[in-house]
Amino acid sequence: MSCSWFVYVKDGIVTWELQAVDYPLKNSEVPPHEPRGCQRGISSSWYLYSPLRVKYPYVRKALWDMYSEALNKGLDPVDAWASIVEDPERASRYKRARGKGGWKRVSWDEALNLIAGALIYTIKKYGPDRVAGFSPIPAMSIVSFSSGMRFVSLLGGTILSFYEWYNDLPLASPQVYGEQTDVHESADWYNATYWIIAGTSLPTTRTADAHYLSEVRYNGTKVVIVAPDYYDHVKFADVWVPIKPGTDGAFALAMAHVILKEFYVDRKVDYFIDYVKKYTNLPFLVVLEEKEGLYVPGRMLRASQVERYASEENAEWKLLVLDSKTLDLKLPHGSIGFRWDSKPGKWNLKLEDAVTSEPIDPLLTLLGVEDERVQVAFPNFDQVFAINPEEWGRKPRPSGIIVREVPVKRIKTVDGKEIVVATVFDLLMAHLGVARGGLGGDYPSDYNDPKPYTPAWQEAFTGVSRELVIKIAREFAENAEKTKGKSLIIMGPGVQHWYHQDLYYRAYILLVILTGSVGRNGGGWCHYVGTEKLRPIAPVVSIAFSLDWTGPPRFMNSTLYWYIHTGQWKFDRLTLDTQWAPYASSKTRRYMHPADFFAMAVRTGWIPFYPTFNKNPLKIVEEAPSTDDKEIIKYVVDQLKKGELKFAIEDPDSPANTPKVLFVWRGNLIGSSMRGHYHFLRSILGTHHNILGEEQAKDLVKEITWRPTIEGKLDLLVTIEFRMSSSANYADVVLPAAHWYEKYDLTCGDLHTFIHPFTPATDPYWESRHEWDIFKDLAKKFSELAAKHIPGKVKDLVAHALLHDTPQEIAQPEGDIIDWKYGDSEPVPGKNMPVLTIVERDYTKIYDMYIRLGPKVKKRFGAKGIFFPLDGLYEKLKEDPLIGEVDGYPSLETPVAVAETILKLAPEVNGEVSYKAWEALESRVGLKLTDVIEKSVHVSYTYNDIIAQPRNVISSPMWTGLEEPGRTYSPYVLNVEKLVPWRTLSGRQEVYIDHGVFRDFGEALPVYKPPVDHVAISDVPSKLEDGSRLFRLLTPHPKWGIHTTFQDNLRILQLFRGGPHVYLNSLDAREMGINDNDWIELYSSHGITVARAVTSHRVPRGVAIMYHGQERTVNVPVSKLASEKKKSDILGGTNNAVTRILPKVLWVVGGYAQLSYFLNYHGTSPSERDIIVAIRKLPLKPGERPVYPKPTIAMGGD
Amino acid sequence: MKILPQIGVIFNLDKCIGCHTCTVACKNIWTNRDGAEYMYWNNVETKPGIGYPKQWEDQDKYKGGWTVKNRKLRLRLGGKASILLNIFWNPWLPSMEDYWGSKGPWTYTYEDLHTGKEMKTQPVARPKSLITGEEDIQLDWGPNWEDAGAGIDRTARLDPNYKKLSPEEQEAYLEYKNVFYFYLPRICNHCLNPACVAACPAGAIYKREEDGVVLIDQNKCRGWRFCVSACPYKKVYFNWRTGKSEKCILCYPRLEAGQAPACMWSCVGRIRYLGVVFYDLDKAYEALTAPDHKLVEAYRSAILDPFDDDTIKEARAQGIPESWIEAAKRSPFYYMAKKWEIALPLHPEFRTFPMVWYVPPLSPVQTVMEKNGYSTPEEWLPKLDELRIPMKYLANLLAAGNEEEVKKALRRLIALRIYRRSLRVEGKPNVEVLEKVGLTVSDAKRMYRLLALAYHHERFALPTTHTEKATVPYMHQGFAGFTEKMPKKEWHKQPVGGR
Repeated sequence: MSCSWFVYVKDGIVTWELQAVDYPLKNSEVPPHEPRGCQRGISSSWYLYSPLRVKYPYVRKALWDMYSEALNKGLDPVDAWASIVEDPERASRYKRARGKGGWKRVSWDEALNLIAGALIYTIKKYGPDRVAGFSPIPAMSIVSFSSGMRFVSLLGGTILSFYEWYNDLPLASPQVYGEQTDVHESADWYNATYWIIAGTSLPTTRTADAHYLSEVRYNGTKVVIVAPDYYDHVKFADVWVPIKPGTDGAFALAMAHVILKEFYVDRKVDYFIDYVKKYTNLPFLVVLEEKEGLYVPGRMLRASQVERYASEENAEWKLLVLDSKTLDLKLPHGSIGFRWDSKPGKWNLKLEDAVTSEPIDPLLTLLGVEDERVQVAFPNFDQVFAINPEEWGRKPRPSGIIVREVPVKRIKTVDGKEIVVATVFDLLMAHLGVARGGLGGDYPSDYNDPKPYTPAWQEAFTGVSRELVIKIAREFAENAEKTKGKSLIIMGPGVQHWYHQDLYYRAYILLVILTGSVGRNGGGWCHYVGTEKLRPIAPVVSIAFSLDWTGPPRFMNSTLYWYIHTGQWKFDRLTLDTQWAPYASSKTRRYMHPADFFAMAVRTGWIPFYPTFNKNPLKIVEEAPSTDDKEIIKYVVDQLKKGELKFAIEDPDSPANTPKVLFVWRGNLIGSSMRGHYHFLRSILGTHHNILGEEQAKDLVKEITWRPTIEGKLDLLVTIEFRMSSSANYADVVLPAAHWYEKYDLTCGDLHTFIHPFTPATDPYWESRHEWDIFKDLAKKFSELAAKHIPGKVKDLVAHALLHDTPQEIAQPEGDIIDWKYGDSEPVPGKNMPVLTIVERDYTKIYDMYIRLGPKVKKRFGAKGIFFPLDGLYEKLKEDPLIGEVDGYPSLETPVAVAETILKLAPEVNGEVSYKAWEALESRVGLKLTDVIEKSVHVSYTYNDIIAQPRNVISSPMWTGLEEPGRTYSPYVLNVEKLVPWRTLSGRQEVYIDHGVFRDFGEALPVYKPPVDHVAISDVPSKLEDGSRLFRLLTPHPKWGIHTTFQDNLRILQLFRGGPHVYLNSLDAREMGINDNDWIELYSSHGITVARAVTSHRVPRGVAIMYHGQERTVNVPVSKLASEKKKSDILGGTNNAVTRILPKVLWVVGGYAQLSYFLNYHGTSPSERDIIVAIRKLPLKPGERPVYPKPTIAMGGD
Repeated sequence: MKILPQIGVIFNLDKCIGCHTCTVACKNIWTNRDGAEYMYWNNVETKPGIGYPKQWEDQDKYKGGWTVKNRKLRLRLGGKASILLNIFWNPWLPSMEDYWGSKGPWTYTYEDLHTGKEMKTQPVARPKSLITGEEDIQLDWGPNWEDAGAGIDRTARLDPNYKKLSPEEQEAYLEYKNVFYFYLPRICNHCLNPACVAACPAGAIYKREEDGVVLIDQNKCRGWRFCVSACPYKKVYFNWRTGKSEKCILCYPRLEAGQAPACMWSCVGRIRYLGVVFYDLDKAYEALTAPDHKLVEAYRSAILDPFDDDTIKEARAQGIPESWIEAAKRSPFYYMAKKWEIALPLHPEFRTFPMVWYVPPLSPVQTVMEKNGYSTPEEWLPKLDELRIPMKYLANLLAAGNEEEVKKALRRLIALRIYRRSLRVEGKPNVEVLEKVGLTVSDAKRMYRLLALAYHHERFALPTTHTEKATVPYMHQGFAGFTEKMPKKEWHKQPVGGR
């Protein structure tokens, strides 16, 4: 989507498109970014006039009949809505009809009235947090994204995240860097002289950038590709590493073993050692805890623990090293405590003591200067689940311990105790089994000793020969040594979409850290899943989440939202005991089931949840005995403590605690991202499904009330779309959206540094409209109706999680579970429970606010913890000919006004704003930074400028690269070159994560944990159908679509197999009697998918590949299995019919430095690609064809 | 010496990412119509594989191209007499099934998703034949059925290039650990010796003198379809609605305006190059009868050096515009096909002298049966004999079986890589590696630019058409914006400057 197209129009018809080739050149040393645009993009014109196009507003006829009848009786839209949803029979009548066709074309007025009525009913009866909005990937069309977000935020509704929900967020990035994601533009790859690609097929999903892969080889770069199957990117490799799926962690850690041995022990490479001392937490000290005669790595040593530094402000958040010359403890600048000091200026990476200002040379290893050597226990999980299909289904094995000697120092603490400390580096060396200096314990003797983490050890998991691992590790490091860090790892969903994705990523990231490659042009790690990079983030966040008028918004981690609300938690048997280290604390062991852990995480303020309470948040305030905000909050805490008020997550099947109204636009929630597709159909929509398994967590959960599952929790689903996707098909109201070629918008992405516009080739056809205009009109209808039903101001109790990049990220210095429900402490909002805020709302003014830029941004504007006043800039907006004013406010009436406002306020395209932002960061950091922007301070692009030519962005402190003229974008250059800290606990790259839960789960250091055995945890029926076999199902991003978009496009369907398909190994297929193009059924406990088999020896045995996003609206026949089992839904499902949400609980740990919540930054992910399924040939009699459902009579809805 | 200008095209298979953007670009513009819906003037297929239409390379089946008999060229189809004999029954045509499977091109009943009454289950867009209108059809073949190695465990053995490998090799390369495939994009080759032109009983197909583009005169075409049979690349298609044949026109309206054809413009893998070359008609004719293993060399010898003084002199004498002579000197085709010999013609043994040439692909190192089945390469960059794709296969495809031609090309690509690595990583240029394969430093510099950096104007070194040779521009200018045709007959009578 982030490509520029010329769209050709003849006689008012868009005839075809060709890529624009007018991108500015980066520099003459790298190939240009042209042309950009792939087979999918160029098929886009097909949608415009296709029979798939949604041309008019539609309402589900079953609903419309009842609703219009109520209107005819004289009821107004709110009461008419009530008359339907309050009658269980009528409600279930239209809910059961969902997804079954039967549309009524209505006028825009009729449709918007219905929606406004439902909203007002819901807000009054249940509260605004029962309304939710979902729209993904803002970068792709910024204004369209902002429209509904702004509307829902103004209501006080729930903002559903997409990034971690899509499994696109590399959790390792917040964990190691405190950064959502920041990656190289593709042109910067070209600077690397050694590439490893793991888990991403660039030609398939980064099609417009893949030429850098082919071209970089002519520049002498070596390319190593790690992939289980020989796919389109592998043809560009010099070496193909055919790894077993899900075992990258073992492969990468064995490489780290080799690099540490050969470049840190056998030979000490100065460049690497200097780098890790300066930019990582490897030299920092960890307190070792004694447990049953052994030591276990504990918390990082804090300034608060030693006398010399205990009086420092935020001393609990400042970390210590030993100086290599004096062997004294030192307090270097940069840890997170310095970020929030009342006197700023020491939050930087200078290796200087914060008290004495003396330079520090941190000691990396204590070996040779140690007080003693102690036996340290390291957890080992490599046998928890079996890798090989023959062993699937065996009981999970508990984790074990490896004991290895580590050099330590003894230190006196402020309370007079003596403690034992080690450097992170020494712990890492021992953990990875790198023997040296005569250290005792269970170290492997050499590379051939199959103990963790040697090259020989990894063979059993990865299937990759030890020689290959050694060779690649050696070359990777040697290349980095010679080029000062031009070794690159490009990663993607093949490594990412696993239950332990963060561990696999941390393992690869360790390689680029150890070789000093991060923060170098052409070096480091990057990750490409989704188009996450919303460059003008500050103005977009302000407008989309209505921070200009109100706030805080109700940001929600979608994975948790759907895990709970779709009832998938009830089917989850992946208990946490399979994840604990042998020495895990009793606090951690309280929560055996993920849902219990999440309930704890919500009440301790780690992660948000909506609806938050089992009562309408407007009513809670109304019922409070006081009108004073502080008193109200006190009252709420008291009620919660007493149990009079409950968290909704603790009782999700209570009718008041469910989502009621959902908006979906610019995305296909149901057909694309809904893992456990049928759970959504069953619980949320109340329609047909073919779930094969049974609910089975009843005896496992303690924190959650078990009730019968509500079928049809949602009262209204509104989908805004230009094509009949599943999300449109299952909606109650479908509104026709303008196509990309019919609207004004802005777009940008992570793979290039340009910002460019959408401009209409023609005006929107039929009755379709720009989303901005749709929500504007809805806001108007809503405000008018509110004047009657919710007049005047109301107060709303907003609860949200402790947020990253705010002082809330240092709320929990304990770094552990502090659950007030168990009496671990007294509940204090914003400390060990959610932040509670009383927000005043005027529902009659939603429209007025929607079309005006509110004044709150005048005084405080920014993002990512960098805030500054806009001052005169706000007033200047009104003079802008593309913006103008409404009643004294800058106008946001039109999409162009919104786009221009964004350009005028974004540091990325406006030098004046950028200068202010750098100034703000400069004062926090205490080092000169504004020099970065001096050359570009005059830059100010207007919307017309970017229409004339896409423009390169300029340096902005919202991002970690430097956009100097002619320089390609590489992340973390800012940190390395300008010494701005990463937004982590140590301020550096975090190899060791010391939070108590991470230690209890054995994940303080990157450890290898195998993928999940789903047979063992009942995600596959215990008895398979005849002729079935188990396969590990991989669901990579497709070549023939972008999620579900384009997979229904005739141009694309004609180019490959014309419908759902699954690749199988040719021998596996032959043994099962399956020929190429035979119909097959995939099934798990969660549902059934029907597709065509594609046989190929390209795929390894035991693996099935179903490219993601193949939905069920095109060429999907009836499932025999569903009919045999008499399921209510007999049609084959999407690729997500057989998956489910498999959430890792560690990702909701919060209130602790970089481990703090923010929208799309943190929170759990579905890990749906970590799945095993059963496959059988669709049993057809000779000559029998599969059956398709056929509509009875076409009624001519159009 | 008779010099003819020709548009020469290079596709670098070593860069092709198999995305099919080219295919869709062409489809949208040229064949998005009734009667043409089954056509892909540009398509991309997976090799090994049988492609679109099925087994197009198998001339035992289709009788396309030329053979040499008694040192003379003959159409495989037979001479004019036998063509006329078969004019009402041409047995060597691909059927619709060969292109699109048993029901032909398809669409779906998309309208079911909008217009149906409430059903018992979810509606779905069902597959429907675009030819017969039959619904709920079972799709069993299509124009890119073998994408990314799909089903090639069966079809590879029907690929003539693959069939010529030994039985043991054929078996081995169908195992997971030895798997290879690559993409082959194809358009009309705008051949110097087009079989379609020769086979047309109506004389409707012609090769333009000014740039060599092969076109079908839609007014003259009688739909006999011998062009379809005669074209060994199966790049002429019969429009069932108009009853006439159609083919790739190299986007000549774009070309004339100095714009790259749509498939090339849109090539996001940046594998496509296009430029003017001059060839010697006499030598070209000679080359066509060379023995198989000498064919590539013979074709090359017919391509002229645009820097050669005699060539330039002769070109000027023959009235070739100066801008075309200048363009020929920048021609990527000249450099890659002729000067560096890194590009090769597709199936030269069809003897049509195709003018789309291909740079063969490098590939990952092969599997060696030792240690877990995977070898570790010795050097940083793979050597020729370590590459995964068998040389023989590439030679069968691109050099009439002459492996030396393929090796020469790949050795030069490898040398370039080693040379560039030495510059960037070691800081001292390894010139020796270039010399060993017959390249100079300046060759390497230009080759690197063209293969890796090349900007749009370098990939497409295009002069515009010289309309002043065919019309009176001053007159034409006024009619250009209007659909009425300029009175052709009166041109020569128009006084310059008068109207």
